Amino acid sequence: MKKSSFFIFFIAFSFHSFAQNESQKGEVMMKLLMLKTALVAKDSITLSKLLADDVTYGHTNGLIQSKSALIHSVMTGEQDYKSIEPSVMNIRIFDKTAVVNMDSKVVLNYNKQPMQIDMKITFVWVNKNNDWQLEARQAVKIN
Amino acid sequence: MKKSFIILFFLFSSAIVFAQSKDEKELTEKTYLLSHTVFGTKDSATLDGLLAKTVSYGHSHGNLQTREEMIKGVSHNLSNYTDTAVSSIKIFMEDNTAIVRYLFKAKENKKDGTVTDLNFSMLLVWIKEKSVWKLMGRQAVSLN
Repeated sequence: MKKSSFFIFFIAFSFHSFAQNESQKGEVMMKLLMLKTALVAKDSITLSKLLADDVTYGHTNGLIQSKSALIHSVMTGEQDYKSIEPSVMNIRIFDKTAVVNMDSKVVLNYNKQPMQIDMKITFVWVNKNNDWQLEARQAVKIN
Repeated sequence: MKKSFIILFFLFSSAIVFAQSKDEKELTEKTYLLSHTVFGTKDSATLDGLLAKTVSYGHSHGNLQTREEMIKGVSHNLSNYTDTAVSSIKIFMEDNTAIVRYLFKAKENKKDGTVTDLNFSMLLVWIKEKSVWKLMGRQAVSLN
């Protein structure tokens, strides 16, 4: 009896942590969607909420932008995102850290130059006060 | 009474500062160790200790490796690296997450005799697992 109740507890507990992990993955996926939408819509209020103050946002050419530099560049249309289409996505949660690997096709005008880039992106989200914020992003071009 | 309280506060706050710098020291050392192992000793046991179970290891050309693939890839890598240089290390810490960015330069001497200049910007993600920092993610991007 004791053994079986322990066993049930164990199953329930592991299911609980499994479910929690899955719901956190859902939260992060939602944030990724919000980020994509805000970049295309030039929504500085949402961008400001999603990005950690000390975020480092790395591009395929090696340029790394701060929060203010990224928001400024998006709002002025210097980096003018037309569409961002994620395909493969893998989210791993460890405690308050989420690491995301994503393949994405990005269409944008950069300094009015139209480009289409197939990229792989690593995102790092950190949960602060029950909310996920982007701490780092690094994209790399694939041919 | 007031004085002792101030002293206590001072001790406490310096302990926090000390704890922070201890983490930064460990992260800096591990960043160097990782670079030195990947581009130097290629020692699997060292990599085994540095990598988290679910690490993702991204190369500059987009190839993404799991823990097993990465360790195998490094130990089977026949290239020899010279003039390796790690610079501009920046650490961003948030609780048990740390992001390390740095620049890496080297000459890759391939087995066929060709030499390639490597010039990378690196992103590392470290997580604190049972009070030890482990690598959870890495993404290299070429600056050439």
